[in-house]
Amino acid sequence: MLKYLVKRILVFIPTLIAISLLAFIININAPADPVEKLSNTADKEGAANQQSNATKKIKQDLRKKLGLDLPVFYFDFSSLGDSDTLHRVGDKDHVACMKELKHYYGNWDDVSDYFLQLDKTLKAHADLDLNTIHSQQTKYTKNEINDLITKSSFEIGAMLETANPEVLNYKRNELEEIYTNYSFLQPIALQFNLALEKYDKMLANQSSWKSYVPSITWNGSKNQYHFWLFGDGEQRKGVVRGDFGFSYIDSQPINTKIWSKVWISFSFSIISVLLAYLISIPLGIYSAYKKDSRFDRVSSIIVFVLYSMPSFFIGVLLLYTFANPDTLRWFPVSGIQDPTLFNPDWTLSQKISHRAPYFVLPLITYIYSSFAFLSRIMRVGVIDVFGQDYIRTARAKGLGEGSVVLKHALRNSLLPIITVFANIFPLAIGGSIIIETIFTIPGMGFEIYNSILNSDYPMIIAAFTIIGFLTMVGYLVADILYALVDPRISYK
Amino acid sequence: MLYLQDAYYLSKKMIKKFTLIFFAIAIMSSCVEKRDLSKNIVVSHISSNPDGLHPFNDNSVMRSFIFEHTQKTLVKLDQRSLDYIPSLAKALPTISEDGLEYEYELRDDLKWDDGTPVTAKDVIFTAKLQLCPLTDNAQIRGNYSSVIKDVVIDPNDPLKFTMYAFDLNVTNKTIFSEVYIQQKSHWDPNGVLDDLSFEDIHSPNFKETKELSDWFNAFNHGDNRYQPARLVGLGPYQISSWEAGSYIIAQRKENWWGDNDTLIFNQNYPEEIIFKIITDDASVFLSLKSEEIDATNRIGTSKLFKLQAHDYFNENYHSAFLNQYTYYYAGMNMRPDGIKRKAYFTDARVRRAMAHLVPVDEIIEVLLMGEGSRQAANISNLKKTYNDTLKLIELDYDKANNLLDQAGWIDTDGDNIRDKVVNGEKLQFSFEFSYMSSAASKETALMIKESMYRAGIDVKPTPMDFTLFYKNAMEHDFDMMLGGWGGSASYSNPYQLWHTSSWANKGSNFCGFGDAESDSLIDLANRSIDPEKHRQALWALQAKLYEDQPYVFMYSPKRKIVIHKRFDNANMYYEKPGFVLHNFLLKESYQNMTPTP
Repeated sequence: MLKYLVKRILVFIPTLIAISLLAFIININAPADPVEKLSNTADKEGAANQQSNATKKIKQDLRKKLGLDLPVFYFDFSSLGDSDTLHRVGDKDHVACMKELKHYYGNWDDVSDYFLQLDKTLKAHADLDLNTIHSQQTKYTKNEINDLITKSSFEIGAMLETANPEVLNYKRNELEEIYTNYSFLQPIALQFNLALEKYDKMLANQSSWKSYVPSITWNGSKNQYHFWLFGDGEQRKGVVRGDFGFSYIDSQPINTKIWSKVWISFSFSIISVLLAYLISIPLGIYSAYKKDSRFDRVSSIIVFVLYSMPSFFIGVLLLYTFANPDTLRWFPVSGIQDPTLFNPDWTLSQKISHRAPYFVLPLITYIYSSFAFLSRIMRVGVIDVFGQDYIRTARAKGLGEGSVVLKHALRNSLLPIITVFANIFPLAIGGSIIIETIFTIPGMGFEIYNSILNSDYPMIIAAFTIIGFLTMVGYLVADILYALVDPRISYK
Repeated sequence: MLYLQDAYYLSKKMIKKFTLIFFAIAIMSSCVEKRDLSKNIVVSHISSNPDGLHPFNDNSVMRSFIFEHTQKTLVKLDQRSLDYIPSLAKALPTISEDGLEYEYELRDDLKWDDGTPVTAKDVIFTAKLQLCPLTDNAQIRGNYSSVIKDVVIDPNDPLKFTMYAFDLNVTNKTIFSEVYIQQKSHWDPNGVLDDLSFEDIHSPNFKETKELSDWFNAFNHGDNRYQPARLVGLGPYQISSWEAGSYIIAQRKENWWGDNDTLIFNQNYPEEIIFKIITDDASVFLSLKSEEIDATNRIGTSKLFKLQAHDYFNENYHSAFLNQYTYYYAGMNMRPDGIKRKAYFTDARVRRAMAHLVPVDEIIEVLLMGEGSRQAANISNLKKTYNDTLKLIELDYDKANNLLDQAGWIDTDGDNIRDKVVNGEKLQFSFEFSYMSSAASKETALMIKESMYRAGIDVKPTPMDFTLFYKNAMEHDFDMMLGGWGGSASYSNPYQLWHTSSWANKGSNFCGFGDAESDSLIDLANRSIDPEKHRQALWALQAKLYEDQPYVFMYSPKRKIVIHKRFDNANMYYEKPGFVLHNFLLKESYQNMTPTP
């Protein structure tokens, strides 16, 4: 058994690495830019050319703090035409565009020259002053001048985000026409022409074959994955030491957020599983004895009807029935404690007795649907086991009825039940979004739901990784329980 | 089957036992104590956890609501008159002739919690924090760093100081209305920021020293956003407990500087104010029924109607539907790229036709049960600057059809959908209508689709999540979108939403509205300190928006406010949050009440 356990734990390691890699891949490919999310500048300050140097510095620092200025992994499977500095570019859309250009034209230096010049052209718009131009070019109205500057600025911005030759040519022709017809845009035209020269050079030097010649670049331990996993030894400790980074919503450490909430979801999942077993097992045995009787049929219908009802419906129904002054006001409506009464200095028993009423309705909502599943499994298991020879043997050798039932029959029919038990661990992290929302329980389910709504990827990834880990732990515990319950399972 | 009998008896015993235990727990649990309404505690509902309560670095609506009780500003918006009034300042600032200098004088009775007086040094320290690039407040810093050039203390009076503005702007005199004054000796006892000048802060080459960097790292730390003891301010209440996701308790301070003040915003009648988080509308409904909460401004329209049908609710609570400044719109892409997004809405006549086709009144009737109001352009009709000469655009299929015909959108192929040749390409009038996924938005989109089909237009409702919706809007990657803007009684600078640079730079001018004329109107409105000139510029801008119709301005839903009748001073206001909790005075009849189980 010990050998088996050691083996299983050793298998954990590659599985965990696979989980961490998967989580990391999802994390770095998430659509939102974490730096923009954390600095929240996109909304108010407009595009990059409007942002002050100070704001850019904040973003640079944030990028560094998050380790985003590093290459992605220990090594890159890339091509000859690839750049080793692309990861330093801040804007995600620009990175995507440069990658595509690099793929089309192969030559990184030319791509980079063209891109930088185009960026410079965009920035040149900030130097144009509407009033000055209007005083010199009286034949145009201010509206016309403004429209043209705006259009030019937007089209160049769009060119910075696309590598599609057709779109680029279309926009190029459009802009060239504007610049030819309107001389006041000359300063932009000059910059733009330089960009076009570099664009043409990029086309002339096209060496797309380079994109097909593979090369491996070794980045060493200074990469995003290593940073994510092991931290930087200073501010960040890394995932292996339980540091999942900071939430994009409120900049709180993820592990602090998880620890403050996980006990609630864990309490709910432990109590609910225990209660579900305590009710379903006797119900299953009873139904097995009364097989095909009226009780069996009626109880089957009831548990299956319950099973088919969605938990949000039952939750709200329970609230309207048992927490409503119009019907029965037996339980409180929401939360897990009364803020006007609760005292953090209370003893544990005082806290439990204060919180008990708050737990009743959510617990019922948590467990009712499992009655059908568990009691039916138990029923089938008991019917099956009592027909077995070893039960007859146990009775024949003179064991008492209680001993036959508890030691032989019950234990053997518990095997499927144990399989379900394995889910208890991930449930503690996953919680139940719907139930926590209806009853305003500050648990993990609601937290994860919120993080998905707000694209808070560090929290989503943390939940994903921990749930993966706990699922493995759950199955290991289930394996051990199998062996304890059934002596025939030995794992040799 | 004989041996199953034993199992049966066993299980029967178990079932009995567990049933007994379960009912025992239920009965024990069911002794829910009715809330003691004689306690001088206000329980106010909030719908979500604030993202933090840092004096500078957080921005949620919940934070502003809670800061009403724990922090103070120099001037504030008076919910009653909707004008600015002095708060920590003795009077509104004296303004120099050129409109660039604003002289303030602090009240002389202001004290920090440790008993030390509040001086202009604290204001200068606060202003530096608000502007410094090392403060983690990038999302709002621009609003201040473009206005406040310098703050200088009067050498002869520690309570007087002058704010120098960069430029003439209508918001200059109210710039301090949302700056929460902080205690210098508490945050910076060693004077690390003393040598940091405003010039340094504004410099494009701002250089941080190791000392500054360490100080700001500590200042921006998460503990200053969540740890109750660190959430200090000049307000009458101090956060004493924060149970994340459950509630926040603000406790009345002993010997607060404003204890003898008569202004309603400086009252502190309740001993405690509890901000209770309830996320589900049904739970808010039941909490009101059970008198578990005293005040809310976030309950569903239909739920409030249901509550108002009960006598006992009306006996216990004041409730009302009140107008507010939020509005919803259908925005049209006026400057599509022509490749990915086609030119459906480049013609003002088509946009006007759309306005005639959106059944706004029906939407208000069906979705808001009549509890919404309309506005003709971007400014709420509650404001003094609302242009009331603009007529609301009515649902009119004939007018819409005429306008569409004039714009060249005609059904040439008899498929009931209008079409037009644009840039040599035949376009069917069939466009995507993007909206953020929700039941109400879906309902709205479907009502619009149905109405537009009657005029030969095919609307394709396209739901998406917030991140994608917002990204598409900023990148002008949409045909028509259903959006909404929050607002308040204070002046909302039109630059962010309507200036052409906010389109070119991917700001919030999603639709591409504007030209030099509208830009200059925005500039004029922002720079006109004279109220009449300011109003005229805003009127002209509204008229231009009305003419160009980048949005179909749809409706403003009413705010639902409920306040328990056990309090006096239960006044309701248009301005958010709609009530002043710390002014709630427990009625004498309740003070002597004995709670009943």
